[in-house]
Amino acid sequence: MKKLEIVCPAGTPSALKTAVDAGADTVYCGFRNETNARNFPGLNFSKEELFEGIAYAKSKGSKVLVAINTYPTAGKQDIWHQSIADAEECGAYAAILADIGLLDYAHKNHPNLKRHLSVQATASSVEAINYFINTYDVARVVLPRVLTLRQIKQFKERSNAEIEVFVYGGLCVMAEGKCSLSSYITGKSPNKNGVCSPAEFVEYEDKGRHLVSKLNNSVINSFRKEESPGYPTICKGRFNVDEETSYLFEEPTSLSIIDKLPELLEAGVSALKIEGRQRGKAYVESIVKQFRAAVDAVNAGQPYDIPNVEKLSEGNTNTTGAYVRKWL
Amino acid sequence: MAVDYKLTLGACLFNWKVNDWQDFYYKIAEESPIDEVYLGEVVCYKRYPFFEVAFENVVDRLTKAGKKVHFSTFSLILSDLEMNVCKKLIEKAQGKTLIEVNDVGLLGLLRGKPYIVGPTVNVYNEGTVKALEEQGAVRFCFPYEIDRDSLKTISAATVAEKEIFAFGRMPLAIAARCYHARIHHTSKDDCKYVCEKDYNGKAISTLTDENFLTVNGTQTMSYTYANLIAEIPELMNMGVNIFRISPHYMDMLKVISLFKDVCDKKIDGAEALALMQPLLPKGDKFSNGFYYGGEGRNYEKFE
Repeated sequence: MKKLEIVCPAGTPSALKTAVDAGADTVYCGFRNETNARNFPGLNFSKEELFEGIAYAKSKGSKVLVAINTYPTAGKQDIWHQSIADAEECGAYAAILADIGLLDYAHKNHPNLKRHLSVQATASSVEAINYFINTYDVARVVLPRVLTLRQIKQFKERSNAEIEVFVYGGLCVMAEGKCSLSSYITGKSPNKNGVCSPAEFVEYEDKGRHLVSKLNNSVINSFRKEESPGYPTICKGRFNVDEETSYLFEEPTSLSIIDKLPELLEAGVSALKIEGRQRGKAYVESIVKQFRAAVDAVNAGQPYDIPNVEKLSEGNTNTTGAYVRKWL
Repeated sequence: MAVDYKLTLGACLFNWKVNDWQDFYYKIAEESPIDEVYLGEVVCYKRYPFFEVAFENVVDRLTKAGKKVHFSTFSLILSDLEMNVCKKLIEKAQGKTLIEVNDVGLLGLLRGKPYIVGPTVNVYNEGTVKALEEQGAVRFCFPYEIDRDSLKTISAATVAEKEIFAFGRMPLAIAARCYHARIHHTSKDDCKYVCEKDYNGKAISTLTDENFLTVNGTQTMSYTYANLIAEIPELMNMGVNIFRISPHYMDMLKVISLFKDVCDKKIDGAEALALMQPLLPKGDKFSNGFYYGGEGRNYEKFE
């Protein structure tokens, strides 16, 4: 019987330790530069930190994946190539890549370092999955959060791919790797810079009865005192269309399908990814422990109590996103 | 001296009623100096059956008028419904018409055959260009957010033809969810084709009524209209000499003729911009910020 693996976020060396100690099968992290899609100030790993982190994880039986999943800037590909060499040298289990040129480079020059396909590559069909497996010999594909559970199950029936899906955390509402909303407003994007709605453009203004959030001088939301003020990510903002104000794209909410683990196992999914490299140790410890307990039960064919994960979520609410079709 | 360039018309991104759609392309065939036309549905598979009936006629009319036609495909392929439309188009193309690939799902199917890489396949560097050239890419239309420095570097390393999205609202994001349906308090499966009401998309604004973005079904577009007409001389110097104009509901023949005049060096960019501004709905703006490496919504003055 196949078992589900949990893949947990580590934005810092101490979060990596925490995740491993809390029972992560696998931890993913990135270097402290523009090569990874969580290129936020105060986060990520130097080469030395990664080396030590991997040694610790290995000593406890956990694997480490290194996300090198932005799109290399023309003329500066060396930085990304160096990151791949460093990941291999540090003993990473695999590199998580999105760019076709980088996959090609890694496949040719670092054949012994396994390649996982990043969510940022937007492999949303079985044909896309098979292209990356056949061309670049990727060992695993992380699916974008735009697919229904039924579609994912069909993939497994028509491909040998090892499938990893997001089960919890911050939710991209748009197809990952195909969104330039952030750079349209700020000049910085996930694809180019590894950031979305970056903090240096964020402003909160106390207007007495309301707290207004802005991104590069444009109002993204306005919160009443009793609301918890969310981060001004463009796709989680309130906007006006004609006379109506609404969360047009999505409310400030997090993805959670912790109640659907048996269905994921049945659909042939191999690994469950938890989002949140930008989150602190307390988040990592709590969410990893809850998933560890639930996944252990599912792997043993036992029922499990669905934990209350809302308090860790954005806006303290959850959605099943595209996994359940009515969301579309 | 003849200047070496091509003007292309991108696939119509909006859900125009089939008669308007057909009339538009007939007019392009007969009255415009466009060299090549991309035809096909890029946004939503639910729209495709409506103009499929007029597809052959439009291809015929364009071809007879001397325009080269390419088939465009979906920018997000999620299901067999979408994939089967693409496969049918590949079959219809029979190797005579080029397919514009907008989703990596088609790269395997077209491997070894010539194809065009569209702007929603992520080509940000020379390594990706090289890999895709080896697999069959004969033309790249670069991503909307590509900047001038990257373009220079990539162009120098690209053997294939080089195209840039030069006019129109930019598709900034694509989703599984339909926002047009959400505006009308319904869902994608029960959308009643509400997007057909908005021929240039549905404008959305911030809480302080700043014009912000445009919704077009599952696609979220810029509010501003990208316009690289003033950058044409520099782009040509880099070897980017195919300029894509995206259809909107306005005087497109005039837009196209201004692009042609600048390409032919009859007028300069500043003059063309001044003549083009009145064609936009009142208060709407152009942008070229991505090209200069900044906010896509801005218009940066060129030196």
